[in-house]
Amino acid sequence: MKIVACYKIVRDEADLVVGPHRTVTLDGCALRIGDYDLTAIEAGVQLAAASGGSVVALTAGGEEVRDSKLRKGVLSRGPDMLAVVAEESLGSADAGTTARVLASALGREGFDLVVCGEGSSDRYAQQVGAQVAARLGVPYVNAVSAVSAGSGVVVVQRTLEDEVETLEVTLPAVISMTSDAYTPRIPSMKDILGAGKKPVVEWSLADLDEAVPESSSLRSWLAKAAGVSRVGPERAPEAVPRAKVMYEAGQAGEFFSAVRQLMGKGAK
Amino acid sequence: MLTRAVVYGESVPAYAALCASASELAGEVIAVVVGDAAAAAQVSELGVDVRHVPYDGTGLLDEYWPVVADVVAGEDAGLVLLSATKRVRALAGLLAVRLEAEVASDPTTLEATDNGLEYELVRYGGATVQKTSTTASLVAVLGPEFRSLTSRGMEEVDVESRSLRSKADGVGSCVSKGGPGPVTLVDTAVPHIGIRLISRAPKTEQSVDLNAATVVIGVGRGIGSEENVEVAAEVAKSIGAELACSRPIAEGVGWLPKSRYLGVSGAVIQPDLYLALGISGQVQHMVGVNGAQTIVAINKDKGAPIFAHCDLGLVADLSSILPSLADELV
Repeated sequence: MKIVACYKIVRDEADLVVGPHRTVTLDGCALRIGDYDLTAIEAGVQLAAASGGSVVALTAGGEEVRDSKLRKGVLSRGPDMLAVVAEESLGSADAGTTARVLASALGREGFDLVVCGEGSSDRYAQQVGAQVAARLGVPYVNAVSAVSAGSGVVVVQRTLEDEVETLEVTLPAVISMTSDAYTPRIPSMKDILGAGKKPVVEWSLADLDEAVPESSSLRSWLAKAAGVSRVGPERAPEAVPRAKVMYEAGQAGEFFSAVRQLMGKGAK
Repeated sequence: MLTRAVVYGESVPAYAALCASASELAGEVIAVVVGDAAAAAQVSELGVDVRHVPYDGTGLLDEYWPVVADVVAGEDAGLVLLSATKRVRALAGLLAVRLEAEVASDPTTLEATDNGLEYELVRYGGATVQKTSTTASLVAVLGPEFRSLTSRGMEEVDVESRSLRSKADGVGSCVSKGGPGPVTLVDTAVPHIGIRLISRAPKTEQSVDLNAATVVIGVGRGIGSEENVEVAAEVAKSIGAELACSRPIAEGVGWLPKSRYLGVSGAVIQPDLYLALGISGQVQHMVGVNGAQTIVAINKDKGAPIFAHCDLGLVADLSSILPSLADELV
């Protein structure tokens, strides 16, 4: 089984600096692999180990996808190879654009099963898997908490709000994992050293458009999509105004009478 | 104002909220209902046109997505509103590709502008927000963080022209023509989608509706031990509150089920009172509780971010506070 696990390189919001008037700067934030994507990679790697398949890790983005340390970080977690779509304009791509580009790469590369995370750590639109599947016309299941291989199918457990479905999905297909489905491994030193020797392919949009008629090319699609939406600056959220009345440990009595008052209860 | 909006949800209350929001943005609201005749009739009571796709509740609901997509595509609507459930996010993706539409997942706001729609999305789990305006068709998946125009009390919105009536219970209905809207039966064969339902079972983990509670107690890592979580659970029980937690408590140490964690990818609540015990107040958690009327926090770390986001804060060690907490609050 040929498994493709998708991931996204995101900024680490822990480094986010908020300036005056709710301005934020993300440029100084470190890069990291999306939290939920590590779960997808782990699911793919475990499934490949159990079914005798291979795993390609796939991403699309701007300059950030060229970071060699992060490439090793992905490969040290078990995938056999890396496929990267790198194009400056994809650095700020939304889920729809990412899905369109990944679908093109997947059409070229071929696959039996695409495994996505629950959502990206930055946008968390939870749309890439669904839209990749719709573009490729293959079955899609989200909220997958467990996956096992059958003959020409995978059997998945899907955890919804109040029920769990067991589904048989005909391959090729796309699935998105729940955030806690598999615990991502901590790579060993051997894994990290071995990661540098694994193959990496890099495509530009022009590469993906090769042998594709202009009318259905990625670049014409992106050009058409570009004028449709205008995206404003990222800003810090408006703070919810709070009273911020503080009490020290010795003032627990006063604190609780204030809380009781809030709850519409009398004093003790 | 758009000409037409289509809504789809998984419950009648979901339709009520969707129709109320849709009628603020579009002149005509059409509800696609996949369910039995009774469900279709109930939704039509909201005063909207209903396209009823019969479904007896036994098969795989996802098999109906291509049918729903056909119906939606046939309505030529500039806006599709979906209520955020896990299953519906898959439908959103299919609709986006089918309609070549943008998707707004869990926007906090959504407004009609002179030449399209404008919405605000949160990023990095609420650490930043970003406005997008689009002239494309839009599929918006509305979750609990969505604040409709009415709920934000925007006065420039002409309530009369929208024909929106708000019931006393707060669930808006959108009686645009007086009386129930017409129900049109959509009787199409369900296509094969390559997914077979083998079995379904209720979630063994006890399901909890944190949104229904007026008082919610949240515990974070500062609670210290699983025994202390049990004490907090007793406190919650004694004051009629629901117990919730931060993500590390559910997914890290597993002291509470995952259905009880608040914040990004967890529950988003708007209780009257949120009592945060040992919660540090990371943005990922706060995005789940910022809608609370009042936030009260107890934490031993005076520098914890929660104290910048609460109304009342007590700097104290929970191990000394917990034993008498129930007495203090009952």
